[in-house]
Formats: sequence, structure tokens, C-alpha cells
Amino acid sequence: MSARSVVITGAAGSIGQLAVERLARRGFRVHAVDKRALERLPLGSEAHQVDISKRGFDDVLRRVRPDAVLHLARERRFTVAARERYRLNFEGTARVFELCLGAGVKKFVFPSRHTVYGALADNPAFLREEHPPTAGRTFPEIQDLVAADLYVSALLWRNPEIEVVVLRPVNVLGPTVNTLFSRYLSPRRVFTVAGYDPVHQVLHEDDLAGAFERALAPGLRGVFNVTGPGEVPLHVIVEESGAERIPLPEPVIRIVRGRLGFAGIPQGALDFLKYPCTVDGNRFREATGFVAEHGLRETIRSLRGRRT
Amino acid sequence: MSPRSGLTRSRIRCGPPRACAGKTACVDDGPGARRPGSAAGGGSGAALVHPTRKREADPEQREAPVHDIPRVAYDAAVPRPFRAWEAVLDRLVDPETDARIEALAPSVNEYGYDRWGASPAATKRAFSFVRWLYRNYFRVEVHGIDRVPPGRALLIGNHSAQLAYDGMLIAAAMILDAEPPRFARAMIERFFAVPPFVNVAMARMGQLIGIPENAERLLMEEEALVLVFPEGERGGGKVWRDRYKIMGFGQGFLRLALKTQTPIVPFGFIGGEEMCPSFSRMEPLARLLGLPYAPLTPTVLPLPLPAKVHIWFGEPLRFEGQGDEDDHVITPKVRQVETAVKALIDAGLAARKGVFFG
Repeated sequence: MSARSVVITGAAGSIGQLAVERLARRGFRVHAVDKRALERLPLGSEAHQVDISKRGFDDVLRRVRPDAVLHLARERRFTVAARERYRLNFEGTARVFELCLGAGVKKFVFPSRHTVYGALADNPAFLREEHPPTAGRTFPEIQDLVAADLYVSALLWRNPEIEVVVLRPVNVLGPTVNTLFSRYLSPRRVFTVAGYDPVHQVLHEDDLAGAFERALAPGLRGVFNVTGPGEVPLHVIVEESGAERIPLPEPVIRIVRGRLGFAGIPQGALDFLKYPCTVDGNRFREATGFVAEHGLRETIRSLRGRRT
Repeated sequence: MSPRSGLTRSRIRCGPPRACAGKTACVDDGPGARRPGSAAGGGSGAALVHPTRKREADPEQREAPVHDIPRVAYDAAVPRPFRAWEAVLDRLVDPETDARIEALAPSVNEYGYDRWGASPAATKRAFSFVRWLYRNYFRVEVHGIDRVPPGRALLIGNHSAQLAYDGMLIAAAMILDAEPPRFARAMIERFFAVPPFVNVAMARMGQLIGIPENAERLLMEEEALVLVFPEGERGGGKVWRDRYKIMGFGQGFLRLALKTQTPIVPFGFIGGEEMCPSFSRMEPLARLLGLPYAPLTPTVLPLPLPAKVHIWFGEPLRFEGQGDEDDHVITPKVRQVETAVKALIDAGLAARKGVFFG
């Protein structure tokens, strides 16, 4: 049997690089796609420097005819205009899927985030996949990502001929990964909202790559939360990651975020520092046997490598 | 049982501060270390299991063993200077509270928290004070606490006392007077999840906001003891002329009991109305402050008077059903529980000799 081939979009991003490396090591024929330059690709993988919203990408899919597509390309910067974000994150996703249909791709894996559920004071603990993703209400900056998540989830019944997997992993931490949460934790001094300390779940970046690998297994389809080694209050994550924690009242945070060495995070993200958004990862665990290999302490401390 | 229970456990014993003199955690790890209270399988904390795995991979981890955690390093959402107070409070944890909460065999992760964010260490600090209130201030007497069955159960009773002092004392009763001790998880008002500090304090003591999903998970995955006041704020904020009147039970608890096949233990709480009488809910003011009600009490702030408290537990009630029946099927069952609670209240009122003594 020949090795399975996978196209990874957004392969130059921090999570994309992890995915390329992991899947190449596990014997996949990896085709890394990104509009940015792709460097230091592992042996046996192929780089395609194209924009997924341009024709060049159509050619790649037609030529490669991969077994699976891992669609990681996103515009996550909040400095980019909302219109641009929508164009790539929502319309781009729809376009990639349409092309997959045309190219006879058997599997479409779409990593989303647990943040689509939104952090609300009256969230039940451990949200199941059926819980409506309501983040748009309190975190309008990520409406495009919520829309894309729902769009792909709907493909499960609209296009049953293709195995669609939506992953909603919890906060990913690690020495290389670059997410809003890891950027929030990166400065030497990290603010928290005084009087709030919600429980957060974390997942090591290597375990996320492991989850991608599981998601690519033939036969698996559905929407899955992906959880890691457990849950701890936010202050533990901040302090254990090596930062100095500065609890500040919310009105003060509105002023200092992005200044005085604090991370600049959007207003909507502040709710994640106040209210819980924990998810139930049992469905993925039961469907794939996935178990995070990195413990809680190891996962949180992996951030220390970033601080020198 | 939690689906995670098959995985490695790591339990930090939040031992008495005297024993470990603030250096490192008193730790035990392994099957031989189970506390006697958990042996019956009835301890609600027994199933709170957190997986911790594979720590050997990172050489840095070896230098700092997982269990080598400073006891007071991680506890509440407070700035560092307050941690010194926590160390002081840790020394004030009384031996009874310490032993009884230990006996719950709380299964926590390497940072001392369970998956809901509860901290046995913080619970001990708070309950050392609650124990004083329980024994010396309210002089609580429990009647029939052995009727609370092992395994999952719903504690259902009358609400009073304006600020959930009744919930606090019932939780204390289950820890201090039940054999083996049980950790009662109260389903609290959603309102408490919003104000700063209060929400953290509630979470650390294992109290969760009253959402059916939370209760169901506690009952089904952890065989927990869940405390519900089905009157909600109608009962908690009731005024003096309505004392010991049941303000109407909601249906949610009964549907939950049917769905999860959980026995309902009714209780009557006597003394709550007198400890914090309210003469008005002052609703216009409450609306202004964004509160469900604003009690007008003799003590101005809703602080409790030292009324003597009796808690009467009834025989468990078991109902058959699925939980999704029509209202006309559910309502008579709810009335049955109401009647049981009312009977316990009436018996309790008849038996007590005085409001403050006897």
C-alpha cells in the first residue's frame, strides 16, 4: 500500500509546521501549502508556495490528488480588517472544500478552536460538541472563525461522500506555537482580571499534532472537542509558565492592554479571563483512543522555553 | 465513575500544616493511600480523578518532582501579598475539619484542584471558620442524617436565610456530622458567577452554578451528593410573614432525579428564617443594584443572628420515569417532595423549644 498523501494548508504557520513535521515523520506524503515561504521542510515532503484563494492552489490539488486535506490556513491577526479575515477564514475555507470535492479528496480535516463556544458566566462546565458556538455574542472579533466552524460542521450531512472532521482543541501551549493565548502569556508580566480566575484546559502542541494524526485516520468523521491533560485555574497557568501575575480591575486592563509590556488582546477575549469555557473531550477520546501524552505541568511549563 | 478513572491518579493530600511546616506538600500517591471515608465508594470526592501522565520526558521535570509543590503557592485568585495570610489561615485549620475533608479523599491534580476548580485546601480554610459557626454559633443539631444514602443523591429542602447560610450549614453538616463525610455540591444561583471574588470563592469550595448539565455530570460521573433549593431566590429572599412557607418548588430537580435515577433526600431546615429575617425584598433598590432581591434586615447588612439550627432529614424518595414527561406527570411528584419537606418543617418546628435555645 502506498503512503497516504495529505495537503496541509497554512503550513508555514506555527501549527502548520508542527503538523508537517509530525505527519511526515509518521509516513504521510506531505504537501505543504502556504503563500509564505516554506523552509526547512522534512524529507519526503513537498512545498507549494501558492495562495489558497488563487488559481495556483487548484492546480496543486488537481495534480497531487491527495487522500486528505488538513486545512490550517487562517488569518488570525486582529490587526487585519474584518473583511479580509472573512475572505480568507470563511470564503477561503468554502473554496478549499469545493476544490476538495472536485479533486476527489476523501477526507477534510478542519481544526477550529474551543473558543467558538464563547466564555460566558453561565456556561455549563465541560461543553459537549452539541453546545451552540455562541462566541460571536461576546467576542465579535472571531465571528469569521465561528462561521467557518459552523459551515464546515454543516458539510458533514451536506456532503457525506467526504469524511469531514472538525476539531475544537482547547488552549494549545508549547515552545513554538503562536496563538492568542500563548501571546497573552508571553510577556514577563501578565495581567489577570482581579476577582476572576476561571478554570482553563490546556493541550501541548505535540499532542495537538497527535490529534491531527488521529483525525486523519480513515473512517473518522464528526465534530470533536480535543482536551489535554486536565484543567487548572488561570492563575496557575500564568504563574507556572514563569510570568509574574498582575491582577488588575477590568477597567484598568482596558487601558493597559497592549501597553506597558502587557499583551494586546481584543476586548472580547477578556471574557476568557473571567468566565469558564471548558469542554468535554470524551467523544474524541472514545472515537480515536486519543490521550494527551504531555502532563499538565509539562504542558504549562513548556512555555518557559519561550522566556529567556 | 468518571471515564478518566482508569488513568494514573495523583492526589495531593492537603495535610495539616503542622505536619509539613510549610515546606512542601504532604503527599501520598498510590492505591494504598486511600482514606477510610472513600472506601465505601460513597464519598463524592472519590471519583474526582485527574489524569497526570508522562512527566519523565522533559529532563527539567526530573529536577522538580511533581509532588514537590509548596503548599500555599497555588490557591486563590489573590495577589501574592495575600498568600502570607493563606499561610496563616492554613495554621488555623482545625484538626477536625482537616481530618473530615481529608476523609473525602479529594482527587485533585498536581496543583491541588479538581476538574471543577475546587480546592480542598481552600475549602479547609473556609470550613474551619464555618465549623465554628456550625458548632458554637448556630449550635446545629442534625436529625436522621444517616438517611442520606451512599452514592448519588439529591438533597432537596426549604430555602431561607437571605444569603444561603442554610446551604453553607448543610454542606458543613454533611462534612462534620455524616458518616462517612460527604461533600455536598450546592447548585447555586447563576447570579453568583458574575461578581468578582465571590465567583472564585464559590468555585474553590466546590459550589457550582445551578445548570442541569453540571448537576447531571456530578451525579452520573462522580456519584455526587448534590444540594438543590428548588425554590431558588423565591425561598432565599422570602420575607418574615412567609416564614417556613414553601414558595413553590420548580420542576428541574425532579426531572433531573428521574433522568439520572437519583434518590431525593428531603430535608427541613429550621432556624434559617429567624437567623436572618427580612421585612422587605426592596425590589426597586434590588433592580437598581442588579440583585435578585435586597433584604431589609434588623442587622442592616444581612448578617445572621445566632438562631439555633435543626436540620431534619427524611427518608429518600425514589421516583420512576424518564424525566421528559409532561408537566401533569411531573407536578404531582414535585408536590409529593414538597409535602415531605413541609412535614419535616412542621415536625421540626413542633419539636424545637425556642428560637435561640433548645
